[in-house]
Parts: sequence; C-alpha cells; structure tokens
Amino acid sequence: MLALGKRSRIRLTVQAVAALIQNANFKGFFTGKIYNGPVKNVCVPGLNCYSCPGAIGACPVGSLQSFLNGMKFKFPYYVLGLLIFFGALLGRAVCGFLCPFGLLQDLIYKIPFIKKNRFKADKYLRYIKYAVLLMMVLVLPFVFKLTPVYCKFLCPSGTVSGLLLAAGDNKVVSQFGKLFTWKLSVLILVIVGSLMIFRPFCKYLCPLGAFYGFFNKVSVYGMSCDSKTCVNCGACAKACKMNVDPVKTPDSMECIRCGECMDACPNSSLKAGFIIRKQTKSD
Amino acid sequence: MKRFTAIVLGLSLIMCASCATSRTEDDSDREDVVETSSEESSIDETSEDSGEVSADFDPDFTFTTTDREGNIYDESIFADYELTMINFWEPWCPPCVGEMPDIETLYENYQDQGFNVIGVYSETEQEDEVDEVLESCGTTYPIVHYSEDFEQFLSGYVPTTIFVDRNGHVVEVNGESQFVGSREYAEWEEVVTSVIN
Repeated sequence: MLALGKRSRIRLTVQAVAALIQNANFKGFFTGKIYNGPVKNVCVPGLNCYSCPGAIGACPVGSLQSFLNGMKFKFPYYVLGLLIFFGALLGRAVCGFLCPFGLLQDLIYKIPFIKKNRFKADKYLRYIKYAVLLMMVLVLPFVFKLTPVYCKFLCPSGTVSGLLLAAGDNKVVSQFGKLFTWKLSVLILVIVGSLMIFRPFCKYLCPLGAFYGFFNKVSVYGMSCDSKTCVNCGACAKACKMNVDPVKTPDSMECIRCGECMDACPNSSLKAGFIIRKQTKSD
Repeated sequence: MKRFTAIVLGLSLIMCASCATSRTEDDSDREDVVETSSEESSIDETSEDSGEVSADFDPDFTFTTTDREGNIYDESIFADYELTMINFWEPWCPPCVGEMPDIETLYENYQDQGFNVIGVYSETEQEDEVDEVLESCGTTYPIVHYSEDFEQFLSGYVPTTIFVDRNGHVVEVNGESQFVGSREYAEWEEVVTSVIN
C-alpha cells in the first residue's frame, strides 16, 4: 500500500497539503463553529464544503447555487470567472491534486478489498454527473428559491462537514432527520464504493469534475503522447484507474492527471505538464 | 489552441474582477431546518423608554435597535405583551424563510392574547431580498436589525428563536430556552400555549 513511486508520493503530498490549507481553521474542529472571516468569500478549486468547520474558503459549487437560487437572481460573475480560471489553467488536475474529497477516495481505495474498476455499466454511469451539473447545480436552484439543490440532496462532502459540526455541537445532532438519513446513505455508498471502484464519486456524480472535464483539452496543464516513441503496448490504458486510454485520448474528460500511466509507460512516451501541447503533437 | 486558452484565461480573470458582489453564502449540509449564520455589524441608537412597566419588570437583558423604517425598539416592549417571540433569521436562509409564514399565522392567531413576534436579521447587503421575503411571507410583525445586545442568544445557526415573558425573562419550555432550527406550526403553538393560558 505504501510502495509509492516518486510521482505518486509527490501527488499525495500536494493533495495532503492542499487539503490542509483549504481547511486551515483547525480550531473549528473543536468548537464546532465554522470560520466566517474575509477569506471565506474566496472559492477554493475543489469540492470543499463551506460548512466544514475547518474550511477557510467557499465551495465553488455551493457558491454557484447561492447566486442562482437567491430571492433575487444575481449573475455569478465572480464564481464563474474563478471556475473558468481554474479550469483553463488546470482542467481536471484540480481533481487529481487539489480536491480533498478526491484525496479521501484515493485513500479509501488503497485499503485492500475486492477491486472491480472495470465493468460494462461504467461507461454509461459517467453521464450522470452531467445531469447532476445541469439539473441540480444550475436549473433546479432557479426553480426552488433559496434551495441549493445539489448541496442539500446529494453532496457527500457536505455530509462529512455536517458530521464534523455535529461532533462539536449537540444542537446539530438534534436537527438530524430524514434528510440526514438520506445524505448519510449517499456518503456511505460513496465510501463503500470507493473500496471497490477508484473514485466512484468523481467518475459518476461530481458536477465539478464534469465542469472541469470540459477544459481538459484546452487547459494549460495537459498531457500528450509522443507517437514517435509509443509502441502501442497498452500498458498505460491498463494502468489507468479512470479507464482512460492515454494514447487515444490523453486529454480525455475523464482524466484526473494522476500520472499512473506515465509510470507504466516503458518508453516514457507520455508527458504531462504546463503548456505541454506546443512541444509534441498538434491538436 | 494556446492562444484560445490565453484568451479564455484572460476573460475569466476579467470576469473575476468585474464581480458584482463579493459575498457568497453557502448553505450547510443539514436537514432543511437550520443554517450557519454570519454576524454583521450592529446598529446602536440611544434608548427611549416608552410606556409604563410593572414593578416585576426585571429584564434578563437590554437591547436597542431599529426597524426598517427607523422606529426604535428596546427591551421595554416586553412589558407590553404576555409573551414575545424573538426569531433570528436571514434572507438567504431557506429554513428561516420557510417557517416565516407559519410564524405570521401564529402571530395573527395569538396577537389578541398578548403574543408578539419580533424578527431580527443581520444581513446588510440584501435589502431587496428582505423585501421579497417579507412580501411573500405576508409578515406583519416587527422586523428589526440585529444589534450586538442579542449576541448571547446566537447559536451560530439560523433560525434561532427565544421567548421572553412580560417581565423580560427568557422563558424555558421543556428544558429548552434557545430553539435552534425551524419548527412546525404545531410545535411553536405548543410553546406559546404553554405560557399563555
């Protein structure tokens, strides 16, 4: 489990540091109260709930819904601008390096268990996250005023935050009802799923991943395969836990830039980095 | 492709800079009864004592604030009613707004038995939204601005509600004096009728 190559160790370190920075309000975990200072107005790139007692920033998905579902509609220039900025710079590298909830799934997957990462329905389930993005994040908040539909009914990252708040404040526990039971079930499903499937939430449900996926082909941080040295051995596709074929689609919308494919390649044909595109094959 | 990306990056930075409002609120992920609250600055006015109070009037706390028309409210208002419900709410908070129509109904039904409601909100940047909420909920009871005098009753979550009797004492019902989260009409009615009977 801990036999990590250098690339994996670097990525894990970045993930851990990013998670710590985004949740630097450590005293919140003990008081059960969230941080309310000025930095809270800034969105973090990954799925880190605003209500996490440690959170020092805002969740971009929650913020988006907040603008769209207000009593009076306000166009979310700021949030959208930040999201587009993160996307254009990193694409789904955010998922692979900066998202704490992604880190959680990564760690759970490391636990020895039956692994069933490839199965027929996998391809179709990937589309659900676009429906989540469209309906729960964008459309339904317009219909139901003041209701952040995705946060309320789906987001397991928020459920984790709710549990952390409850641990510090009994009043929260007294409010748990049917909705909490549903949300907890979703969380448990994701956690148990993460034992068997690599990052099931990222693959099938995350609206943020769906959004950033659109940027993978154009983001400054990208991947490429050098067709001159590639021998089509298929080792990269076999190593990919997101079920991407990096030779065919190095900038696939499903690629979270974990780099396992690069470790697997015998000829180092795969490369990832900033402004990688101009160096190798053209689009 | 690289130029396109550069344009997109530049545009997105311009969008960030042209933000209309810097305030974002997120709802915490719990049952639809409660929100985490943010505190805003208070409004301080000099207090004006109006009306007569009985010798038993011995308020647990004092406060001074104004409603949205500038009328001054202070703790002397407790003496005018058998029971006063102070409901802390915010216009961006779904469970707060969700229970306000019920609170209005409660107010209308028990007004003549000496029941009063005061709604307190601290949000300073959503006056339009407050208008919308008050109109859609049909609110007729006083709505006042938050003052630091109320700080001791905040739970960190909204809605939070306390009840004060005519002597200015915070009422305890079934061991509860600070009601965190929204409630059904029947639950609020039970609290009211247990004091006013």
